[in-house]
Amino acid sequence: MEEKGRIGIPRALMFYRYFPLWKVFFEELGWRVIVSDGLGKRGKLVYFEDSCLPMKLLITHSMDLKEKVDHLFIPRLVSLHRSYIMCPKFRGAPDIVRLATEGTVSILDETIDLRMREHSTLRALLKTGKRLGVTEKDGKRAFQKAERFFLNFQKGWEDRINGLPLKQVFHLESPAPAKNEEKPFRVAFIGHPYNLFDTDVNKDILSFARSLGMRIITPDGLSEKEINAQVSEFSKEIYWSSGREIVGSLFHFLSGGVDGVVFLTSFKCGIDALLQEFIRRRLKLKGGVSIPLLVLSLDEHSGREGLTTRLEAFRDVIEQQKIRNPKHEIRNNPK
Amino acid sequence: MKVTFPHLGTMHIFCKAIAETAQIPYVVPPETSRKTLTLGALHSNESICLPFKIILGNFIEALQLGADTIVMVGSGPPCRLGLYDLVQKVILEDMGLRYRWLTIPPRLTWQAIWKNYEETKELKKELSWKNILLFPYGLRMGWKKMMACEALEKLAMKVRPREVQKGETQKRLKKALSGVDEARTLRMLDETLQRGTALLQETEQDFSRAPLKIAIVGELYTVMDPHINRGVEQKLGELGAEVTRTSWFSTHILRSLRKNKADQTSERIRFFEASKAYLGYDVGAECNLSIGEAIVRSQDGYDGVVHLMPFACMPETTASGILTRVGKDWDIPILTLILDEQEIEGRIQTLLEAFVEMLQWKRKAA
Amino acid sequence: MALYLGIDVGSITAKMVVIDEGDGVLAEVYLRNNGRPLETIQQGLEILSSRLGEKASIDGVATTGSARHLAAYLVGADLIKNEITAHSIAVIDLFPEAKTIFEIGGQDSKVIVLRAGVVVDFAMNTVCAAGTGSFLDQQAARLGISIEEFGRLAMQAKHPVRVAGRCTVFAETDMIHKQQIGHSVEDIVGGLCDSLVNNYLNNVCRGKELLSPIVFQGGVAANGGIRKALEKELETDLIIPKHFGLMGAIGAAKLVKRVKPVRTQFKGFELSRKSCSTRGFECSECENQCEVVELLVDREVVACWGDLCEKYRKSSGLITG
Repeated sequence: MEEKGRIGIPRALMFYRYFPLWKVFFEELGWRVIVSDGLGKRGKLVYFEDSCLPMKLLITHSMDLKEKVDHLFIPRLVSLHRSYIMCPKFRGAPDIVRLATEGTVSILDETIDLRMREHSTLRALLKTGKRLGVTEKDGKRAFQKAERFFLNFQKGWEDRINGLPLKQVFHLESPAPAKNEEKPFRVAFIGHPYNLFDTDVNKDILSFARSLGMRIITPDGLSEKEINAQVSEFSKEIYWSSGREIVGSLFHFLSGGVDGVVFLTSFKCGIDALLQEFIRRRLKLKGGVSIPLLVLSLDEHSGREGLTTRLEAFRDVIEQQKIRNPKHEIRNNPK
Repeated sequence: MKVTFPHLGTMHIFCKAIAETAQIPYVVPPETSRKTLTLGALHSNESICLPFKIILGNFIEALQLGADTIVMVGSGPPCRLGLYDLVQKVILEDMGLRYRWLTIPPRLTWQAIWKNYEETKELKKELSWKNILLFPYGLRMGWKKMMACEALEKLAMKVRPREVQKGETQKRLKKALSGVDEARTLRMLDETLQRGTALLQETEQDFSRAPLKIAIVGELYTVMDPHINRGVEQKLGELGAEVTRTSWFSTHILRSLRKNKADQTSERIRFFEASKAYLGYDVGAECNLSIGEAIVRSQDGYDGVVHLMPFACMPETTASGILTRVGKDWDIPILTLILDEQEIEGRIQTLLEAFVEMLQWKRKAA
Repeated sequence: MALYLGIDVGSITAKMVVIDEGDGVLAEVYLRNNGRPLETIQQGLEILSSRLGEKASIDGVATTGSARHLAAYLVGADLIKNEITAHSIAVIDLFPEAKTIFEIGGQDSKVIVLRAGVVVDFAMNTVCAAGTGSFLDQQAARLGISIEEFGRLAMQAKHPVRVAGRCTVFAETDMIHKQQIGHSVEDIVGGLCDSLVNNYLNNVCRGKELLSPIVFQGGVAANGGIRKALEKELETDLIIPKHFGLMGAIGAAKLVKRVKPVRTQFKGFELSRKSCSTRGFECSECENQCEVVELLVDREVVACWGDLCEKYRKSSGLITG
């Protein structure tokens, strides 16, 4: 098919979960998808406002793309769940990018709010397609294909993050490795997807974890039921979907199935700051846990050295724990 | 049973009035002080917003003084305010403090009323028929006192920039407010409000002055509580600026009761509309209103805007990014003050002095 | 000839200048506070008086800086002015073309935006001290070098390393690591300068329009490494005034010169020979628990502040501040 134009997707925020879906959708419609480069070691962060690092990266990547594309795809992600919402900063994200790029590039900023009955990801993408001159029929066809691809991609997720170099996890053309080597430890990494998988945010800490003999488990594989089981008894419902997932999966993994849990937080992330305190206090009230937990706070100022030192020490802790308390092995099978 | 409530501006005056009139025992937490803040900060995470830390500090101090029932207005998504109670409850529990928690529903929905019913089931057993009978009268008393406090504060904002003896207005306001606090009956309240109003009006004033006009916008706790914002309103007034703000208890209560007819509420709609040029969606809390109010104030001929927000506040961080552009587009100076637990009163004074001077130069040049 | 005294007392240093009608600086003092601002001011007065000679008399005094009120009570000031205004006044007369002022001091860093000789925007760090001089002092101490040497070494850096540092503690960890993997001191020092400059530009100056000519002043302007890093980052040359460290004091002196007080409040240079001290206590009369401070000169209370109800001010017959 002839190329209709270029759509830029900034490598930031929910890119780290939905990129496969978005990319296939646009490509099926004949648009070329351009992704921003990583920031790398010497990259310059754009300081337009004083948010968390992931939000600053969204702006930085958008600036990088603005001259290379016809449209930037920055959907307004209000809610990606029937009942729960995204961080409020996501609501203003397309506007902030519009101001930062001084209106020099068209932004596809369709609102996605799945709490509304008439809304759906399909609808939002169809509307986006309409702006690009796509018929509803073609849009639907592209969406079906994208969704199939996305589901398939998710199935291979755990193998991808344990087998591929972390920077290639979202190279859709790289196939999921068939089988990963055996690792002595199973460690759950919890956090917003962009903290977990953006190597510019976490200084590629997952690669380092792998080199320490850790098999990486992420909350992506948990069902909503498993999350709900952990968070339903709280005195108030956690209304951010990411926050629910973080707290739910953290308590889930701490109750067994892994050798250790690492929680990656963004400094200045309002959700993380609040929930971190909640998690700490609740664990204490429940008499602590036998599975080691490590909390790492990330921002543009954190040096890799500080992170690797702590992760190394953490590996030693879980190793000791395993020797002292081998019965965990028996429960070591979540599914 | 001994109820308590957090501090927020003059809220303790009318919360106390409700409890007192309904003859329910209560404890007013000690006035927010350095100690309150230290306590709150010590028991929470550094990146949690300042209002959380101060409210937590108020609760700890009140519980230590013998309160056993916390009454707090509930809130909801999208910002952190809606989950304060979830986290504060585990913190207090972990500290070994005993308490019961009563949420006042922010919006009258069936769910909220049910939750409130569940929470109050136990408490109601401790209330006498007298408490219950007097409660509506208490509410009325509370409402009237709230309105009286707001009227006095608004008047003080007008008098302050014209006062001849610096600090005089504040002294008189304090006296007038404590008069309101002490009034026991509605009739006494009416009288004391009249006396207070007269007291403020009689402040020696220089009417030849043409004070600068400054609007305070931003996150509501930082705008409404002088302890949280280190007296920004008073400081600006004493530097010779007539200050306005649109965050008042009455605004927020009427808004949540969906009484849109009130002027203040329709003003907020105007702000919201104005913000649409910059923001395509309601980000939540006061974010859009901060932006919209800055624009509207510029059109109304104000000299400047002071934007207040707690460090790492989610909605206002978005607002502050956009306000930088609004200031340029509308040629209105905007000073953003980010507030946290550090001792920064001196710095705030310096920034405000320089800001006021800058506005005076700008006016002279125009 | 009329003489005017400007005093700028910050958190780390005290600066004092005496100027004449023609704005010429006749005498100057730059001292470290060492946490004792009163003694430092007295010492400064003594030095100034010895430089000016016995007969010199002062016609007006202004104070500025974060301890401007304390300084004013002590010496008897005719004018108290915030340091942002004082700094801009000093620059506007000297460099009417200037569009931006960078001022980096011990604990404060500011940016002031000027257009046609008028302040139109400014910012100052409120919560974080990572973009200030004390950050450099601490890192220099950590490396065991003097701050002067620090600036010189930074100029020699060939490949400044990237030092991560939101705050001092983080920077320290990262710096030690860089030392341990064998980077030269020059490159580490150069990296620290880059880190400070980045913090300053991205946090204090965020959203400000930084047009040249840019004047760079404050104690840190002495540091060649910082100057170099700023110039590299902004791709423009910076103007460093001759009295870069005294600009606040000069601005204050100029402001009081404009006012021309009829009779100055100045208590005279002999203040340096009197015993001065402060006495603080927490009042427990009401729930405000004010921290009341009294200033004593020759064992007599001369000023008092901090009491919200003004009870102590009244009882001592003093209404100040």
